[in-house]
Amino acid sequence: MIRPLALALFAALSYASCPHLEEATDCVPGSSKCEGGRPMLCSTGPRQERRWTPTSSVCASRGSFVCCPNVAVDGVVRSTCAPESACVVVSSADGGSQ
Amino acid sequence: MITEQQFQAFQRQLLGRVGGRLINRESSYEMGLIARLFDFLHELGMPLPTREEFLNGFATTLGPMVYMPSSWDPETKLLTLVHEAEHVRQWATGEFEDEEGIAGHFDMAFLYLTNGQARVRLEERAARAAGEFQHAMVSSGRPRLPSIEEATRFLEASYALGPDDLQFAKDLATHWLTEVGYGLYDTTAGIEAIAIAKQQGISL
Repeated sequence: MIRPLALALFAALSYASCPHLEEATDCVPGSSKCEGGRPMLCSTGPRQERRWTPTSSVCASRGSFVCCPNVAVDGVVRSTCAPESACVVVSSADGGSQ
Repeated sequence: MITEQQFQAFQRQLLGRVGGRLINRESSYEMGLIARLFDFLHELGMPLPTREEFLNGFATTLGPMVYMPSSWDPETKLLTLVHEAEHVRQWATGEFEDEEGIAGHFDMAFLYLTNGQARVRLEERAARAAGEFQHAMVSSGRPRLPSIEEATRFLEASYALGPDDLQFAKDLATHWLTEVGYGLYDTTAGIEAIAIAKQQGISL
């Protein structure tokens, strides 16, 4: 009886110590935001879990760039690194997230 | 037009800077072993490449080792090498240069193999490295960046990704294509490759 219990405990501890991606509840899939001068993207995993993913380094570390909402290559306003001149103002209802 | 000699000089410098090593895929023992296994499973009806396809149609990075077919033309090898060199760097130091994101070594390998979202992140960052190189080095008359579809198509087969993962790949590609379009180069392999190519007088 002790042995299966010890094995189960060992398996649970092993699983818990494996690397994993942090989950979050405060995002809408596909939305983006700036955090600490770095762009973040919200995604959905296979169990419908959500998480914020950093999409590049801190913008200012790569020259004259800032993290701000701007018009992305698909024509949608997204928060990415951009030159300050490309930043657009979004309404507060968006929260500047997409 | 890039010559084989230029490619060899380029790969020695780039892989030297990121701590990697190029191995001839066709003559490597380990790739031969995987190819035989794939061939066997292919014969059983599994949707896997045949031995010939596996050895001549793909490049693979395992830790610091880049396995690439020697038969590819030098320009294809060069662009693929920039992608693979970013995987070498991911293995060595993680997803980003700072502490953010997926860590290197065991974390990178474990998450790459077990988590579709991690696989997308690491692959799209490697695609970005090649995209940055293309954007900086391409001469006039050719597209300087791939489209969102072109930047994600390679993930649709052989990577075991679901629809959510593929949508995530498209969103990530949209982000990096936007930034690279502004001239923001962020990947170690991309930045190093651009510097080496300029030094060696290579253009696409």
